[in-house]
Amino acid sequence: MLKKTFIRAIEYWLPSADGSLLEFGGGLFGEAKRFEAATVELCFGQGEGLPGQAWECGHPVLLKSLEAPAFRRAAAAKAAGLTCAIALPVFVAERLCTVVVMFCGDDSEHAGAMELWHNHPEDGPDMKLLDGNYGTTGDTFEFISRSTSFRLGTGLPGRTWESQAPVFMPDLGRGSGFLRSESAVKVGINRGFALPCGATDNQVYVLALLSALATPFARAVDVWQPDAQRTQLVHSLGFSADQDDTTRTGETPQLLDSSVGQVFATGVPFLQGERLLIPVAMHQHITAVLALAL
Amino acid sequence: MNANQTTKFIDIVGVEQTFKTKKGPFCALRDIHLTVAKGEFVALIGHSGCGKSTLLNLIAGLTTPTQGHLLCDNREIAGPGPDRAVVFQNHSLLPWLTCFENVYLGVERVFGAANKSTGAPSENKVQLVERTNAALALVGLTPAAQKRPGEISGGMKQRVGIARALAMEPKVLLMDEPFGALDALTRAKLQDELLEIVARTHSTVVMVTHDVDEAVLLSDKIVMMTNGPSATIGEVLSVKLERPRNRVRLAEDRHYVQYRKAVIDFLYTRQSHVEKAA
Repeated sequence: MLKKTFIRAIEYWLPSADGSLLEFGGGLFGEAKRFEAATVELCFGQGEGLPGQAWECGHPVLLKSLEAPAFRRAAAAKAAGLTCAIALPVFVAERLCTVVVMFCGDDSEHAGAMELWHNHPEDGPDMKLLDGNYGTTGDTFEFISRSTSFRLGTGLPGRTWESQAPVFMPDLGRGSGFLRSESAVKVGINRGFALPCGATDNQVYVLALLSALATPFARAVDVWQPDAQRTQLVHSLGFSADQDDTTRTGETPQLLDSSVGQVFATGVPFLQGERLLIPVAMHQHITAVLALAL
Repeated sequence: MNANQTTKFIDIVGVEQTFKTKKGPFCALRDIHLTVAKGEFVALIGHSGCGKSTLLNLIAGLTTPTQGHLLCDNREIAGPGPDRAVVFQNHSLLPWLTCFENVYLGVERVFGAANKSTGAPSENKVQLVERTNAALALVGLTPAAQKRPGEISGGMKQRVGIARALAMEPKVLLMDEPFGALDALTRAKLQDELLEIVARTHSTVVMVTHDVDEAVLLSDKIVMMTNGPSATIGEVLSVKLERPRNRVRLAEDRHYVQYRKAVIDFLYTRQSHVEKAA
């Protein structure tokens, strides 16, 4: 039996030909068919809806309540059990390439948390929690997260900030370097995944997804990063919830003319069968390609 | 006082401390950025050798950084000064002087001569004695004022050290494991007294400690340092517990327990890292 995933749906939006709108590009919706139907015909202007807000703000936007008027597809989201979303804009040299939106729910089958961490260099060296959605995990973990700040290279957010690429911590309870592990394990969170986010304001944003063994954040995750010569993309991380939660690396490198290479080169997501290839950006350039299957 | 002076009363910018050794340069601290607000109580915590005391010595001006700079009240820290008083684990009292005389020595040095930087005139002996007695009263040592260090307990000696520091009206109180050598009961009593003194004096305090409970009980901010060499600040925990704090009530406080666990978590994680590396 397939495990339910913490991310329930994921979609991406692309700038229209004249650059005035965001048009639906594709996505993975799992069981949220009605939500998908309510999505495909939509488009958003700058500042409109969640994707449009992320475009206008130039940084990730976390929406903890998918209700009208802030969220246009409120009824469909409610029907699909979606309660929280984060919009991740991807910029390359000031140009918007895409806005990726991830959705999760907070019912009893969704043990997990979604956190947006932030550093403003002018405010100091600390990466602090900008906002977070903690669903059914209770307030213990949320409280300690809101009290904690990380430095470059420390903890899940700090390591992601330093590496500028996705970081996976498969077992938070085993001295993995996850500094809130005791509080996390207590509320059922035992694995963490974080990725740097694109922004135009020269500030640093990191999205951290924390999930339970029973509800992995995605069915499968793969990450490719460019090699030193930037001639090919090396498989740096692979994880499958359907194959005994094993992690794997060392798959065949992807050349730049492959699907993975094209996502890296263009910053435009690509739907490849049951998985979505997403560009991961920081400081306005693509640092990795993330593949998610729900 | 402008906002910058309030929020960045102590401002440590890009500090690195490398020592010359026979085996070559030894980098004790790297990339230290830290601000301490006026009236804030900050604890530095981490494993032995993580550079906590090195950082405190830099703030005290006892050593100078090999890179970066430190400011206190918008002035560069270029050496020791009465604006930054230090309380050491070893109380460093002069054994041939009484408690009163130990405190008076510092008071006379600071206030017995005209202050060139503030323009304050020198104080007369009556004023200096008043200051000394007030400091001893602050730490509850009036009855022991005429005793010598050899005639009082370890806790009382440490109180004299605190009185000596506070008597100089420092802008910043720097404490290097001040209660580390005391038994648990005396340590708890002195921690409670320190809480009351800081509440009264609104002192800005930076304290080095190994004691998790001490850090959570006393601090507004706990700075957790990574293992050395080349140690740096790893995580900062903001302790948002209401003041005044009562240790008995806090023992059952949900948030206190969570803060405590977070610090233990950090130290445990770091310790396991050390074991793996070893």
